Amino acid sequence: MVKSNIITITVNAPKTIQPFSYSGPSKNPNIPDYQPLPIMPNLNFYSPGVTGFQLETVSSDGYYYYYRVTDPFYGGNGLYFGPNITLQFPVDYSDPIEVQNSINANNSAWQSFYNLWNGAYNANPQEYSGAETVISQVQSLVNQANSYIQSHAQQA
Amino acid sequence: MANITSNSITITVSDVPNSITLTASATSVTVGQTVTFSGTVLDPLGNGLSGVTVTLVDSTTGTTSTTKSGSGGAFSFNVTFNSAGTYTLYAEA
Repeated sequence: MVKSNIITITVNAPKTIQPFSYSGPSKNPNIPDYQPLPIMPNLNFYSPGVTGFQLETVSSDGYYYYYRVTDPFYGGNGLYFGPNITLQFPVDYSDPIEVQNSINANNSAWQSFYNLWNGAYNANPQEYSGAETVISQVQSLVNQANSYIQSHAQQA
Repeated sequence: MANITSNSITITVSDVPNSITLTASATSVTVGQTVTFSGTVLDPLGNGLSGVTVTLVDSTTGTTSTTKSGSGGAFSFNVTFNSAGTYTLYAEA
């Protein structure tokens, strides 16, 4: 019996990203704490005393991912996702061009977000396990934000 | 004088494997990924031996896989790793 050389293989556990499930004070020093809402996602901008909410998730390698929603009537200016995504809310709902620009900006931001995460997920599905759920959740929020903008524009 | 002929003797020379070289497509992977192990079986003269049964042994789990060497003595295995850890593998024939 002849034996070959020996080869050692290291098999690493996959890095997982949990769906957004936490609503509470920010762990990001660059984002101030906001009063959390108990249900997510919930874009109820008129909740008394609520000026926004923040959700976050953490990957198994220790990186946090955030998004934050603020009420435009309380001086907030949008929704943030990590360092890359900012959704825009209109300043003047009576201006149809501004409304449309805001929706376009949201969709553009969403597309960037989608390309980033979907690309990473497709390149390495094991490493980015859970990314498809995050993508789905943010897509839902973007759709709600655009519906919100559109409904206010119709009321204006 | 008449020619005489001795008895004849038949010598059988078996071509036996003398060396096996094993390589892997990757040595660091994530759970669920597949590694292709390939190699060559050679005889003492350095010629490839085809049709030789080659066994890949995972000495960590004890599992084995077999295949036969093909043209030029080449062989190949695919192994999908489903648990994290360090594995040592070798081939034998």
